[in-house]
Amino acid sequence: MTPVYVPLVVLLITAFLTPLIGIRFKLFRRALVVSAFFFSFFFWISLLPTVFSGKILTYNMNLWPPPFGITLVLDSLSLFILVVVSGLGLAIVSAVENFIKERRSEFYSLFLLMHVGMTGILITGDLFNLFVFTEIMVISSYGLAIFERSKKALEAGIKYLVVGAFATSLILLGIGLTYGMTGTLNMADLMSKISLAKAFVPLSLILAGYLTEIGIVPFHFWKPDVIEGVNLPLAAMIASVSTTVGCYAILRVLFVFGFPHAPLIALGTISMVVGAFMALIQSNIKRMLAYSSVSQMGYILFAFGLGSYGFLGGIFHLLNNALLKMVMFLIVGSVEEEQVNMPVTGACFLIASLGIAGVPPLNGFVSKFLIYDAGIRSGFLIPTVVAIVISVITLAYYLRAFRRMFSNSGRRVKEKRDFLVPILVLTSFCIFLGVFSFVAIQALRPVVGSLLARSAYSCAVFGC
Amino acid sequence: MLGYLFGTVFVAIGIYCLVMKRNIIKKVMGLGIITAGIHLLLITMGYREGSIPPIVTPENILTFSQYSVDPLPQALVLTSIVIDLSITALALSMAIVIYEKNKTLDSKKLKELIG
Amino acid sequence: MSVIQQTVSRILFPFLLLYSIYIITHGHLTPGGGFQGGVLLASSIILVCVVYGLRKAEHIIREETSHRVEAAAGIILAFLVVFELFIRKSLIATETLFKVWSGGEIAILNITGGVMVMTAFLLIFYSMVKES
Repeated sequence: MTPVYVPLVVLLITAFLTPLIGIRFKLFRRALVVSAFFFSFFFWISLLPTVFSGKILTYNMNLWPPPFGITLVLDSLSLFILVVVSGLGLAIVSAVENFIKERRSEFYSLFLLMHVGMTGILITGDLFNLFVFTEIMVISSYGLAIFERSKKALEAGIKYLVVGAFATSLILLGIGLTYGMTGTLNMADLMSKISLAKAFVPLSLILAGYLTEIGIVPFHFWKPDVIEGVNLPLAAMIASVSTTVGCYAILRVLFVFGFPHAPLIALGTISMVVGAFMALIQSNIKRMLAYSSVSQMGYILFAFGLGSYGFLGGIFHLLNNALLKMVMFLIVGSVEEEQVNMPVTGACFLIASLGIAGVPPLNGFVSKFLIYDAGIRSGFLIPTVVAIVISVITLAYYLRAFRRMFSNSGRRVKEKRDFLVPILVLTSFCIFLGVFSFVAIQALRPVVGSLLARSAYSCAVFGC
Repeated sequence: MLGYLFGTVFVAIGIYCLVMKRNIIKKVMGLGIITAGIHLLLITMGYREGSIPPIVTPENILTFSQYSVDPLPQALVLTSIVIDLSITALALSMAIVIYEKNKTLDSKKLKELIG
Repeated sequence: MSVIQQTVSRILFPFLLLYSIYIITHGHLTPGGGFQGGVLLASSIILVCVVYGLRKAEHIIREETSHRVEAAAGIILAFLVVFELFIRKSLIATETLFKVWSGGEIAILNITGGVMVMTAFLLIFYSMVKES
């Protein structure tokens, strides 16, 4: 009975306190937001030793016992992604001041509400609560998308809203059908009452909704337009953090229902190919990054479709994709014209591109190698060969972008200090993860173990 | 039975409006029709033959769970009505600002992001 | 707006108000509660605004008044929730059942939430209509 909901409440209170403080004390506003993110980050890190040793923390909301009440469950997978999400939120907050020039209080408020939604998705143990927090996260991002009232942002915002609202109503339909089949909405209770053969239709509806959120083919059509049109902090959030949380939601739903192999592998492979080939022909760097995100999500889905062999590679690639995409978006934000001469930023862009493409000794190489190894071990040879070829194409379009963006003989631009600190911290963390990859794999083994331990989950919730 | 049929028909009509109409406000109306259809489906799932609404009064407290309809989908639908209302409000605000900038509400004329 | 619409909405308006107040105050007994009743209250005033014009709706509630009421209701609601969660440590009424007065703290939360939601949606509607 640990109070797991404390960072949620702190973020919510800060979300409503920030406009109040922003009226008078503008200097304190940014300090307040950053300290709220720091608090949640260190709260989750302090829970790491307890949860990673195998214990699952639960909290029954208002002390109603499950399955009548809503339970908050924190196992290793949730805690891992919570640490990643709050850390990346910290990285963006430093960059917000450069892009949003007016009405910053409302931006911070909606941004914190988006984090409340994400934290809620990651700690809940009830299916309808998952839907409600998904809606909170998504509606806050619709509000953030049209923040600057330009024509591009409005068009991107209305497209994002229409597609996202339709996807979440599909999720609601799937959850309703699940309730009609079993009579319960608690995840631990559902595990014993439902199986993949019975619940095929609700599962495909829920998956369709969340795959739209991630950006897998054939649901990816909103992603390039939206990432090109909206302001940069929200684009970074959508491409790196929202996709991670959406992938967690898919994992949790499949954890309850059971993992199907063929749809995930098929959709993953198609996304890899389509994302890479569409990214080759783009001339706008943000659209290229959006298609690259589609492609990397294809890798992750392919890894999760391979069964228990692929979980380690999939989770590691999820972490790598989040970190590297955040670095990419921060670099794209700090560079404003073509052919500039910014040595440190250019070097970081090169390192991040090599990381995403999977070149040793960076972290992308280790995670992709684990995915190829799992693919060969499970017997799916053709998709693995396709994945290796697409890695080469990934390197091709990133190097093309690097050639166009940075050059030694261009205009020398002073590098912005606000961006340099998070870029350098994240890039050095990626290099560390790549060189000392055995440390990372040892640290991720409890996460993979929690994905396979279904009986431990229901034991922790019901107390057996 | 009729509730399931009409729920599905509503969702189908809503998808048609969302996809085929060009005016943004008609698309938003299509979204509302889709959610109305889904709510109808959810409530019909909790129905039991010849039963009472889920309100506990001093007369029927002992036999309440045998006779009433299922109150849980009604709670889900109430939450979902709230969410749908805020999405509609946000979408209509976006439509107003789009009209101010572009002087048209035709979705085929929004052509800034192509590639 | 034509005569039919004006007559019908003039007849319906008090029933809408009464029904929404019923939904708010019986929130602990029947489906409904603060939010749903608040939305219905706001939609009754929006009905008046659509049928009769903005000036009649401003006679009922002005925009500045609803700003202040919303802020006050928000502060009271936040204070109540903090008070309940951390000082009294429970949110459920354990009084006698089936009576309207047995709501305890849930009834106050419902009423405050209903007022806040009504003013919030009214402000959304006013900002859409006023073109400022």
